[in-house]
Amino acid sequence: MNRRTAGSPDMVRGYQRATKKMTLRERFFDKLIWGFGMIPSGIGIILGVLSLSLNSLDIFPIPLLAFLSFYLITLFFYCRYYKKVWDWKFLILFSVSAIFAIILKITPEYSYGFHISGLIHRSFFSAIFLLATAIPAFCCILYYFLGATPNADDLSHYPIIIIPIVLILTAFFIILWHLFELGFPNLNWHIIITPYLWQSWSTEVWNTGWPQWIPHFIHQAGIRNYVLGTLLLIILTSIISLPIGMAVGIYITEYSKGWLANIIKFSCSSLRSISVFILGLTAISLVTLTRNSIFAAVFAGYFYDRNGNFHISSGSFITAAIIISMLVIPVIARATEEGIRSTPKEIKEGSLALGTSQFYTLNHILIPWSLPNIVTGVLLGCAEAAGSLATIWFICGTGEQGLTPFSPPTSLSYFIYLCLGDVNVGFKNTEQYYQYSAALILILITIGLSIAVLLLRRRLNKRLKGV
Amino acid sequence: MKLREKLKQFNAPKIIFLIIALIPMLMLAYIVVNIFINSIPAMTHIGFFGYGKLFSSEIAGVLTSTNGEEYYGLLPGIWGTVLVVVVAMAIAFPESMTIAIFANEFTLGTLGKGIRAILGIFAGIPPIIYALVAGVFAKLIIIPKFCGAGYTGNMPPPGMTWWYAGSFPFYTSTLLGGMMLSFLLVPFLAPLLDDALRGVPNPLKEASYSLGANRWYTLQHVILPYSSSEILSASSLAILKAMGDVVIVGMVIGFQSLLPYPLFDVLKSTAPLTSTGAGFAGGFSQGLSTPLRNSAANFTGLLLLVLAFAVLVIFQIIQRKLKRRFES
Repeated sequence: MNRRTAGSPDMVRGYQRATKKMTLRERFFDKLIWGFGMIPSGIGIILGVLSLSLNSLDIFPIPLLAFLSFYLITLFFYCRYYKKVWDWKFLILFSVSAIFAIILKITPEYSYGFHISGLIHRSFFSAIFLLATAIPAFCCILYYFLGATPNADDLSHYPIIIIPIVLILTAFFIILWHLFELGFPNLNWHIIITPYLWQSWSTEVWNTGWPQWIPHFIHQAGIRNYVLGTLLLIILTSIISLPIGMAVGIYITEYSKGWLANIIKFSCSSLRSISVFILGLTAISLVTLTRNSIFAAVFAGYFYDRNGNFHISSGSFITAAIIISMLVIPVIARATEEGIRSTPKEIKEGSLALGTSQFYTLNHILIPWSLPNIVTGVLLGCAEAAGSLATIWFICGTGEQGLTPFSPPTSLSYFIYLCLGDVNVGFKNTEQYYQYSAALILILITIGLSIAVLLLRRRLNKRLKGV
Repeated sequence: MKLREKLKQFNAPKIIFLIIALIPMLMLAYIVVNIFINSIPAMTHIGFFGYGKLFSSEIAGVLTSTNGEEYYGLLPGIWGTVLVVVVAMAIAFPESMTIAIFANEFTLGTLGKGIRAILGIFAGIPPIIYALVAGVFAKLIIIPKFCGAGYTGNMPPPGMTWWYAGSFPFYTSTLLGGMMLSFLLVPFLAPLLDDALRGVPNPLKEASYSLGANRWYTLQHVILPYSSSEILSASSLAILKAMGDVVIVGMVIGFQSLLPYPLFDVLKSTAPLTSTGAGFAGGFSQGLSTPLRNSAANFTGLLLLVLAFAVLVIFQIIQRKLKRRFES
């Protein structure tokens, strides 16, 4: 028998020859034997997945593995003597599961040593062992249960494919559910319309002929600054990156000259794959370069405090939008390029044949045709701008100083960061009850944009098919 | 006369588009030159090899010297990047691969399209969210499995004191950081692998089917070998994303790292290069950074750029060899 036994013609023929001789009663018992084998292996899979998290199931794996190994060796001999098929996989799985059971029997409840920073519980090993034996065993048994045909070979591989997908979807569901569970109770209209403020200032009052300075103090919790800041960041980023991205896309498809277009393409893809940390460092240097120049108001930003004093801050919304647009320009350029390339040649050539100029064709044929693609790119860029933190990390503020394009930038993701870290303890104590609500709003913004992109793409596909 | 002809040939839109299209190139040039220029002070003032220098394992913040000197060791950071990328890819690659296979070859009705749509939605989740919910996965997996007595409330095993059992970095381990990073990588990597598998020409698949092979055999012997170079390039992009991410690793693992004693101990917190650099730049609770620290951060960025370039080159070489083998 060659390396790939399952589904190979020899084996199928042998198995089917053996099956044809069986009476109806024998076939029923055959199915029963294979079907019963799926029970311990299926329980093994479920137990293995649960053992990735729970410690209390620690008593079950050893008897289960022992029973599985016993049943697997039974199946091996059943195959040999009743089906005339040597299936070595059962023998290998039998020995592996028996060895695993013995190893689990001799491991203590907690293993430690070798300076490893942890006490490893036995159920961690048992989870790995169970998954490593039960999934292949389930696949092999399913293969014979379905009749050992090539089609059964396909179907029997479904567990290998579906279990990781179920695991990852469960993980994402846990993330979303956790955000909803903790964020929804605190989410109300009041905190959305209240800005976060922690400021003190004094006003001059003339009392009986003498000036008096009355101190004022305001301290309130809310997330209006951050929601509006996120929206402002989205708007500024799309204003900056839309023309540049479209121009890049149009140039490299319509006006390209070979090497120059290639260089522009390469620089776009490098901008996309460059580390966000490097972009954050660029933001710092942009601010420090312009801080003492005439562009300080634009790049470094400014604000007036409550007493009316002028301050130069360390970063502005415009700087943040420029830095984020470095990530967004490649997306829009790619979308524009795809849209223009997808234009039917007949339409474009028809327009050119009627004597229009290249620019007229671009304006009236190509851009309208690729408009949905461009909107898709812009929406993806907006989601990027809403969620991007590392790029604007070093230049952000709390957003108390106003929300103009020249004031210190802020966004919901920076708010969550401030609540998570211990940079600003006073801020954290005030606002940490709303961090999950802010995360929920952020998720709603980004997921809403993603769903819009999805719907747009569906419409796009319909149009391309001519429906 | 000549001037007029030249003016007629002058294509104003083309020139305008060219000028605007050169902006990304200039931006890239500015980023690279800026990083290089800003890291010159670190290279000249700190030096490369020696105690507390750039390529050493002593790092500022963890080891503070008494005479006011600061350490800028980046070796733990490089090793931390390797560990985090390995953990994240070890989780994310099989997941993404199975999702791509499911969506292309082993669909169950419309579920393949559905999982593509769901991943498109998850791709928009920003990294700070994963950092926010890291504690959930620490409670679900890391603490019950690797914390032992400190969590269950039983007595610690013989030879181990409570103090030691309670001082494990549960919430800041490299394993947890890599795990949370893998959630960011899966929606990024799966569509790329999906495209790679979809790029296999249909006649090739149909030839395999018509010779009597089933779907699994075709997948193993036709689809995966044919698309192996595409798969490699997709995973190199994912590795670059994992190397470049700073929010998740910074918030989960931390920003100061020491070389772990058993080098492969992912249960200790070994911060990768990006968050080490962010710590230098004052992004975390480090307070204001000095010019020298900022310069060291820029040097970290330069190192990251060089490492990313090295990864790309290595993957390109492997890809070419694979292509040559498949063609011959």
